[in-house]
Amino acid sequence: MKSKSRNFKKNAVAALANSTLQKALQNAKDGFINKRKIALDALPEFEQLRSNAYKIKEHTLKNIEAYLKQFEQQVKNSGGEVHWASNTKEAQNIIVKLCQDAGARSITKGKSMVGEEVALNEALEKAGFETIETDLGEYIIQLAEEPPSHIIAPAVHKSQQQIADLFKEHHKKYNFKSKLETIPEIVDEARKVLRDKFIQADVGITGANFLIAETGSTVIVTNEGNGDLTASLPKTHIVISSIEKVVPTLEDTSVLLRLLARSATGQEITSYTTFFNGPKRNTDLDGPESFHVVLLDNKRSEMLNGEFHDMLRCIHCGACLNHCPVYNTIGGHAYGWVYPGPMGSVLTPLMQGLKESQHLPFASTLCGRCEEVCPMSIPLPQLLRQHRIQAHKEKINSTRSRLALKLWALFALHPLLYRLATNIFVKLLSWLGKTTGSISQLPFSHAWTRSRDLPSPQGQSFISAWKKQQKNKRMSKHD
Amino acid sequence: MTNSRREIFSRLQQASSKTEQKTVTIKEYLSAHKRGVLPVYSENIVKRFISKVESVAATIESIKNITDLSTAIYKYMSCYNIEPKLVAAPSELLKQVKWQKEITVEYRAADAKDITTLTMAYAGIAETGSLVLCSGKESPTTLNFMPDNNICVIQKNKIYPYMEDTWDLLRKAGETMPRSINFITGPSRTADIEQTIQLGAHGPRRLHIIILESSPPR
Repeated sequence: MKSKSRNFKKNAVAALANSTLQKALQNAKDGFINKRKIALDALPEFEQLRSNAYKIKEHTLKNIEAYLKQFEQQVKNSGGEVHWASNTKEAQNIIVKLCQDAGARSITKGKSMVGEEVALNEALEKAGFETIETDLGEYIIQLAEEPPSHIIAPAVHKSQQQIADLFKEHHKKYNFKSKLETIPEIVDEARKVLRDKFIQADVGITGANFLIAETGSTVIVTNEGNGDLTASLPKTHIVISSIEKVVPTLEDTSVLLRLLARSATGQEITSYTTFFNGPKRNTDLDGPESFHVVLLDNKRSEMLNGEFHDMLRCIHCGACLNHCPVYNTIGGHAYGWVYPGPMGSVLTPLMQGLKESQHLPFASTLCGRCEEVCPMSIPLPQLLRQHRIQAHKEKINSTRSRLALKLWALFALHPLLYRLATNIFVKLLSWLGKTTGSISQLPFSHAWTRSRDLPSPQGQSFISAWKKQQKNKRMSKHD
Repeated sequence: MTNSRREIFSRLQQASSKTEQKTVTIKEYLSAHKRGVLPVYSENIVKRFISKVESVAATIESIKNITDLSTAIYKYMSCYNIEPKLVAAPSELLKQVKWQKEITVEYRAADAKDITTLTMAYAGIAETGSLVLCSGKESPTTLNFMPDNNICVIQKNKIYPYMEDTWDLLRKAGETMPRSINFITGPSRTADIEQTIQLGAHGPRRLHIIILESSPPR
């Protein structure tokens, strides 16, 4: 998918005016936040698990080369093959070639954000394959021809009504013609339509939440069971994932799984957590005949030793999205590419270029909730700030904001000047609001005052109030 | 594409400071199988397993002996109005069952038309109420995901406290990893439409677990 992050401001304004979206966002936000909270309240070990997980991931990243080699060897030992892709184009080519070699016509896919990152569906369709997303949320947005708006709930922006309309339009060809009134009816129709696709598919493509070096396992977590049908029914199973998903042992994976489901959906564990190890064995009665793992780099190796290193710990739970006041106000599409919210605003500039996505690091109040809820202790506000600094250095941000910053810096570096200016400003503001106690219009601040009034200050700055108080104290001592 | 492999590893190598000790550390780390933080609980593991299973919308019952299985399953199927046709995993134990005449049973992998399957769990995890199923000649994976109803038998003495116990069991067995290890916790579900939980997305709509209290004779 081509990035539309450049249009962030326009996208955000449109999102605010979209009432269906606003309703969906409110609904989703409350659901996600409450469920996570209930799950964490029942787990006194959360902080311990969090620091455990931090250590596991840091140890892995320090030795990532060796662990990836170990993983590759173990996949080979279980009869599979690992393919390496430096960039998205290479990943597309490898997978298209694997599907061609398998003589495939029809392909089923489990949900994969790396698949979205490399725009896999577009590449497969261009190469002439029928490609069907099987996660219900992904299937819905595939019908709507939209990108996901959330990394774990891709169709979170869609209402039941919109989904029913989509099904009516697209399921005619399967002889489903009635208008669906309830959620069970919608889910059931998707089950029926997709069941045939699962059975017809020649290749199944899934993502991976973790890659285990010890055993060469790839792990998926799902609730629907679509990932397992995708992996087990076709003759070829292809896993697409990225290099930072490697974890040393099965035990380490268990620790991360305890954090992942709770942080994502508030579940202790998802309905299905599956560890895949190669193709079917000689005596197995089912399973794919060949097994491939495609591992994408796409700038991750460059992050390893730099200031964005911490981002490589991300396990894609989506908690930072769910707790972000900006994400909850504008939804995922406004961010313009596949990864939205705080984690997306860190990743998108690294993968698509800071110039293209310059607005994203600024689309944050830096309130810190994302860092607070992150199970992998990623300092997201600090990383966003890093991008801001870089944007300033490269003169990517607007001249107006650069000038404002310069002016601010001038005052901040000269405390006397700062105090003088604030004293004047405070007096001016309190005079402006002396009748009503608030100010409804200010020059240069139209955007702010359009929807609210600025309470007028008390008449003096904190420092002068402090000085006065100290002076009074001293005088009363002398009395 | 081997070039990409070389490129990626050379970038990774540049980024990390290499020392020879590392290979040793990694080997030690991998063979230590050190367990991480385990959530503490005080309940008896079977009790905990049952209550966790019930909390994820699966149903559960216990039987004394394997000879009680046919009756239990027939009762369950009658109760939910399920056609008494079973596709069962060809496991040693399940193949020994003497089925009552009302139930027809086939031992094989699942296909598209199968409504109800019967499987045998490798282990149960009390922490989360999960069943562990390992693919193999006695346990085809499709049985776990294709049907509307999945009935799974678990021996009581195979219920363990944590997921990590599975890893020890697999290592102790000394065999290579099975193709697929499934941790199954309740029936299939989705919340992709307006965050409303709906059971039976693509996998089983119902999951019924039967605990077998006696260890079957070897």
